[in-house]
Amino acid sequence: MTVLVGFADGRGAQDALELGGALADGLGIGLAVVSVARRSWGTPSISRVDAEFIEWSRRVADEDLASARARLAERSPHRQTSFRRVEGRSVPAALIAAAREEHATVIVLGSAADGRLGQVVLGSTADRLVHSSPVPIAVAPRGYRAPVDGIERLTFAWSGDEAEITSILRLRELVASTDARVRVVTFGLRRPAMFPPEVGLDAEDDVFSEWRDQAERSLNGLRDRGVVDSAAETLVAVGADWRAAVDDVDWEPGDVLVVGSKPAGAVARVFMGSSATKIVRHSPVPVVLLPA
Amino acid sequence: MSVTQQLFRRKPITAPSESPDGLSRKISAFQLTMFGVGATVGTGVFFVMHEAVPDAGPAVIIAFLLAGLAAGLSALCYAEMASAVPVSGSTYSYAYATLGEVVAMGVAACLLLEYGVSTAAVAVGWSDYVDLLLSNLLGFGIPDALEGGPFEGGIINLPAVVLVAMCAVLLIRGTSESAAANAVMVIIKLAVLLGFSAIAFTAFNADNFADFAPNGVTGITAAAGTIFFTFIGLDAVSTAGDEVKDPQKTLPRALIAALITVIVIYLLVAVSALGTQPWQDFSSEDQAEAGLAKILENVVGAAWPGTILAIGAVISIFSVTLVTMYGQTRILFAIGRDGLLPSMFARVHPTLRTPVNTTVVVAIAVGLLAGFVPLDSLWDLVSIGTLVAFIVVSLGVIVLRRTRPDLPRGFKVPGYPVVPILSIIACVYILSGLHWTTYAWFLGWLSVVLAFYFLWGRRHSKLNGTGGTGAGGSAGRDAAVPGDGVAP
Repeated sequence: MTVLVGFADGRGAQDALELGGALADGLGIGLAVVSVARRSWGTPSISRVDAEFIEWSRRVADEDLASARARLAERSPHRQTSFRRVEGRSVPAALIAAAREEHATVIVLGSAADGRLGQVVLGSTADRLVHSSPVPIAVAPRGYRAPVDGIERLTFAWSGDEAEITSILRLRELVASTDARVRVVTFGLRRPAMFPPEVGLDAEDDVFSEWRDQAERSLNGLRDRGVVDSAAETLVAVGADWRAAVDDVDWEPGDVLVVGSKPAGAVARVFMGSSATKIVRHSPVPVVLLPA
Repeated sequence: MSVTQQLFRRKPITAPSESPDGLSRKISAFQLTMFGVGATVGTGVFFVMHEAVPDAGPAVIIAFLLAGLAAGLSALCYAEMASAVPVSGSTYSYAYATLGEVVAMGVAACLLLEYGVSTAAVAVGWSDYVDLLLSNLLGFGIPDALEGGPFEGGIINLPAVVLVAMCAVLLIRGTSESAAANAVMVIIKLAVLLGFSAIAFTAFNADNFADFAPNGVTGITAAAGTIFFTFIGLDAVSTAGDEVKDPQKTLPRALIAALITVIVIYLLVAVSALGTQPWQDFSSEDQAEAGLAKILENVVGAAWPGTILAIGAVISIFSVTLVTMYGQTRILFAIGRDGLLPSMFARVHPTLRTPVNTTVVVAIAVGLLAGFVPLDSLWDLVSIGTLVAFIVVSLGVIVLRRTRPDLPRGFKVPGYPVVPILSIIACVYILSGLHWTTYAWFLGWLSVVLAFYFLWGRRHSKLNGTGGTGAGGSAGRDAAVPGDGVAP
């Protein structure tokens, strides 16, 4: 069992290492840093351009690993970490293959470089992994630094969909042997009302208040059914938009947001719904995306 | 609790929650006026001429004034009710808080009827404009079998059904027309109507007004009844009146300004349209569909003005359908939450966060109406529902003044009790012009709703557990509607 960090030196790489280390420490398992060398097409070219490309790609991957080694030696010299170069035609496929070989609990990546500091932005690799990974994906916000006291609380964003109960149970299993607490939050929006005649300007308040009551009942039901333990914190967070809804929750440095997935077909894969995508975009803490 | 007490128990008042997207309390009289104009100038005027002119002839102008006057008086009563009773601002809620449960159910029946029918009728009108647009742009329209229900020699009005389905999908997804989109729609509607008038006035012929009131007062009253629904929406000014400074002065000014603006727009359309052709032509078969566009085509002798008008109509009618369907789902939802309808109506989908069940029920009912019932038998039903609801509100003002004179009122009807009584008289007068078949349909529907209430709703009302005497307070406003006894 390991936490696998997909490492490509550049902006976001340090964040992934920080989050990978924090998760490995929190879960009490090893850390594996993987760098991907791109393989070319199988057909050799006459001018050996493909062989040159492979050589270059391997060299870059090795340099990345050396960089990761140096960074970890500086930040956490005592942690047991394995470093490995893997090869594949695509980075996401190579990472999934490596995760299977390493029996990885989670694949960790950094945010894309075009996000703001503190923001979680899925880059192209993370985006493709989100649609194809059988293992959870963790994405660090830009500029993330591991909290001094480690990861203390995992907040599951529950849409209210019964299909996600399995994900909550898996999350509980994952943290059972750790000190981390599980919190469940249902996010919602206060939609603006339209103005139909003779219905009043507060027509939407009724719907919102009913939704809130239902959401609170569902969250209490999680405790009653033993999906979460009786002491687990549950809450409904709302705002006029998704950013405000996410801000409605108190976040601490040791928090991680966990988002479940919708089952997409017969194969269990990470596949976020549209609301989850928006919640992730505004998360101020690292995000873990669970496959369905 | 006796049956009488049960029937007239009132809902306790709770203050509406502060909504972050609500109107700001700094709204000016001008903004309020524009808000009222935007909410009132719907799309009825796009179709109503074909229905009303054959009744009144050129005197349809008087009918517009009459309907506007009744709507304005009712809106003043609405404003006092809104300022005295701190509930959500729906006619149903006012009735429930002041006159009792059975009256609220009656008002609910009126609202459901007017909303259901107007959505269906508007969808049918939309279908006509879509057909005209396709004909003008592509050279072929929608086949007759798919452009009218069985009563009109077709099978189904498919575009109308498609429009209702599209709006239902949007509402289920939680789409909401933003303030900006609403403003754009208002501008499109006004531009189209003013553009129509400008072009129609180029062919103005005063001789068309010679036979001014061919059917006398009876015809004018009947036309006023048909036209009345085009003034629905003025109550938006009343319910938003809470957000203005000094409502006692600002609100009636905004209301009157909005009403005059709306009447001027409607009269421009009516006078310019009447100037283009003899009043008898309005009932001709070719103007039964997309009438205003047809008039423009006749005036100019080319298709382009009609096409532009049809584009505006197709866009703005779509938005009106969305808003009216939304309104109906929210009324049903409120009734469901009060326990007067099965709880499925008050359920919100956990992930979509919209009342999906209610939206589906509304879409099916409206879709069936739009697909199979001819348009011209519908408009008067919209008016009758609104008129009865307005009478209840005006009556509510009088009842509340007698039972709770101590209630703080941000706005008081000027010239009490004359204005509420005039409002009732005006509405009753317009009601008197409606056809007996409209009454039959209305009373039939009312009987169904009230029978359901007596057999089911009465026993399941949320007030059963509370005694339902209507005691309640309100944060922010020191207003509680009586906690003792029964409305007289």
